[in-house]
Order: sequence, then C-alpha cells, then structure tokens
Amino acid sequence: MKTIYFFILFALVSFPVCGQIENDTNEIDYRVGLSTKLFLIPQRSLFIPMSTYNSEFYQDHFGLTPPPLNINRGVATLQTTGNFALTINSLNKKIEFEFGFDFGYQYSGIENDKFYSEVTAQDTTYRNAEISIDYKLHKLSSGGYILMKSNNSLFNVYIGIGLGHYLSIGKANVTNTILGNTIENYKTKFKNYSNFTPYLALGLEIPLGKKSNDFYLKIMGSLRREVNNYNFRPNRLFITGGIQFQYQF
Amino acid sequence: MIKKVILILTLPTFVFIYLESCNKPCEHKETLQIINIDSDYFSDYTTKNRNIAQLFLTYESYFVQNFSFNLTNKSYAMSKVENCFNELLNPIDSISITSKNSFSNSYPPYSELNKLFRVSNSSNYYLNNFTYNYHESNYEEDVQGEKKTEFKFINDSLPTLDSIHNLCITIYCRNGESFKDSIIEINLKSNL
Repeated sequence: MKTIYFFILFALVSFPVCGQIENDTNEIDYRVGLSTKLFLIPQRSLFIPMSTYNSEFYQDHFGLTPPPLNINRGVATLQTTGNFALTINSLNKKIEFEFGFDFGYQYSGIENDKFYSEVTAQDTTYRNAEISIDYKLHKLSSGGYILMKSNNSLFNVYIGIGLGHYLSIGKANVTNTILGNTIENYKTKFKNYSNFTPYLALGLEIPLGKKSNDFYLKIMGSLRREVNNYNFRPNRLFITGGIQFQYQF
Repeated sequence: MIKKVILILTLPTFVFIYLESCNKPCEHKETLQIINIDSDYFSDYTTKNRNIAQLFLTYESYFVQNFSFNLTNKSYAMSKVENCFNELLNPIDSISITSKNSFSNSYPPYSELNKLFRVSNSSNYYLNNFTYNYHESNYEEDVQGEKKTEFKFINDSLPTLDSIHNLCITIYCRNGESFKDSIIEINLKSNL
C-alpha cells in the first residue's frame, strides 16, 4: 500500500508541474492504442446457479447434502483492450508520464463442474444422478493507470501503477442426467461479480518511427493483486503479460 | 525479442501454477448414506458349530461442493490436500436379529438374539453393542470409494428347540431410519 500511496502522491505533485511545462516548452500528446494481455492466473469463484439449486432435480437427488458453496478455478484469460492515453514530459524531459484508460473484453473460457451421486453395493458401483454445469465466463474490463517512463529515442523502460476492474457477465449451460441418460438441458444465469485488481506495471516501450507522433510498441508486464473473499485464497497475486500498439497524435 | 518475452513470462507462470496446485482444496466432499441392506446366512464348515449371518450395505454417495471457506487456509500453503469426506448421514446405532421361532427356553419366538451373535474378527464384541459410523479416519485408511459393505455376525450357539428359523434383521440408524431384511427357513442345526 505504501508503494501505491507513493505513486499517487508522486502523480499529484507532478501533474501541476507538467501543466507548467505545457505552457513553456512542452505539450500534452494523446495516444490511442490496442492491446492484448494474457492473465496468469486470476481465480474465479463459481457458484451453482440458483435456478439449478432450487430445481426439483437438485432437491430430489442432492437435497440431503449441505448447501453447495462455490468452487475456485484458476483461469488463464486473454484480454483485448482499447486504450486512450495522454503523455506529458517532465521539466528536464528525462522522464515522461503517461495517464491512460483501458476498456476491454476478456474471455475466460468454459469451466465445468459436476454434482453427482454414486451407488455402491457389494459387487457394483454406478453413477446415479449427475448435474453437469458449463460456466461460460465473459468479462467486461476497464481500468486506469499512471506510468513513469524514460525518454529516449531507441527504447524506454517504464514503471507505474494502475487499477483494473472487471464485470463478469457469465452464463451457465446445465445438463441433468440419470444413469447416463440426459433428461434435461437448459441455459441459466449464475451469480456474477465484479472485482478490482490494483497492479504494479513494468515494461518496455519501443518507438516504431522516428517522429514523436508515430506508432509505439509496448511490451507490458504487471503484478496484480486480487482480493475476493469468496476465493480459496482471498488475497493473492497474479501476473499478466502482453503487448500494446499505440499511435500518438 | 519475442523469445525473450516468452522466456521471461514462462518461469513466473510455472511458479504460479505450482503454487496454485499445492494447496488446492477438496472441491467436492463426499456425503454418504445407507440406502438399503441385504442379508444372508451360511455355515462355516471349516470350524464346527459356527453359523454366520452376513449383512450387505448399499450406499449412495453424493459428491457436492461443500467445503468451508477458511480464512486461515493461506497459512497452510504447500500442505497436503485435506480429506475429501463430509459425513455418513445415517450411521448405524444398533442392529437387531429376531427369530419367529423358538431358539431355546430362554429365547422364545420373536425374542431378540443379539447376545448370541458375535461380531466377526472380535472375540467378545457382540451384536447388542454393535454400532457403525464412517469417519474421515476411515476415508484416510481406505482406498477412496471402497466402503465397508459387508459385516459378518457369528453365532456360536445352536438352537435347542426349533431347528428351522425365520430371522428378521433390522438396522436402526441415528437419523431415525431403519432397514429390514429377512432370512427365511434357515436350518441353524444344519452344520452338525
């Protein structure tokens, strides 16, 4: 947390100074970009859909058991993000600041979970009832960041902080079977949630042209903190990596 | 450049995957229930005067998400996976064997014969003291999924009145359920 406070303080102190630069020798440049990031490995807490839990099938075959809670799955997700940013040079032009916003879509694939009952007699074991749930995990993501970059023409390194947010919009496909025979299949919603992921950013920026208003390639890494009380480990870290193309104008 | 990036990302990825797999909780604990019993009876010809009642249990196991969220779990990173068993919903509190026929003067028709049946592999553990539950400790010892489905009760004494007996075996469970089965027209003197 101290690091985050430091960066916020740094940004607040720096911003008026940068504004002064704009009036003297510098200006604010704008950037738009597109990035793709691999998220390794955020956790999803998946809940049985309420309509499934309240269904006659569940209550008939699993009603004697304690109420189900949630399962935790580590997912590797690919996020595609649109980006808008502005850059400002420091007084001595050795450091450049970038303030940006991301809006994106994240697909976390399909996660399967099963509830089932097995009958065990002296000479045989067989599966009786089964509820199979395919969770399709879609997310809308957004976030903001502040980066502090070196200012060279060949390549630049940067470090910064950011705050990401995702809103889950997943759906579930439920299949009920008895003795291996499918008797019902339906789609339903399951408990969604949104989550904040503060992060530390680290990476490289490579200018792809010789002019300042041109294309830039970023190779991005970040260490993110995930806080979710439903997760098996409610407070944990995960990493991301990716690339971003930006155009400065 | 791409190779370097992949290389840089690969190592921490494997570290994260390893750490994730080290403390994976049990996702679906097993809840167990006795749903039926069958009984049989045979004579042990290897040793004289041994009549043996067999009790076969049929279970239904429910594998449902029911692990508890635990704030202290984080401190158990790298610890072994916890047992994956919840509870037997209806442990056996007692078993009763009665006969429709006269066993002896002390045991008239419909009297309980529990004191005449000894639990197999036990020298002085009789049926009137029999109880059965399935705990996490059983789950640790057994191969998962292999429950004890068979119990044997040995009768050392022979009837002095009727030879042919109709036995009724009843198990009484802690949740109030009971299961019955009968063994019809067994000659308890047949191995003499």
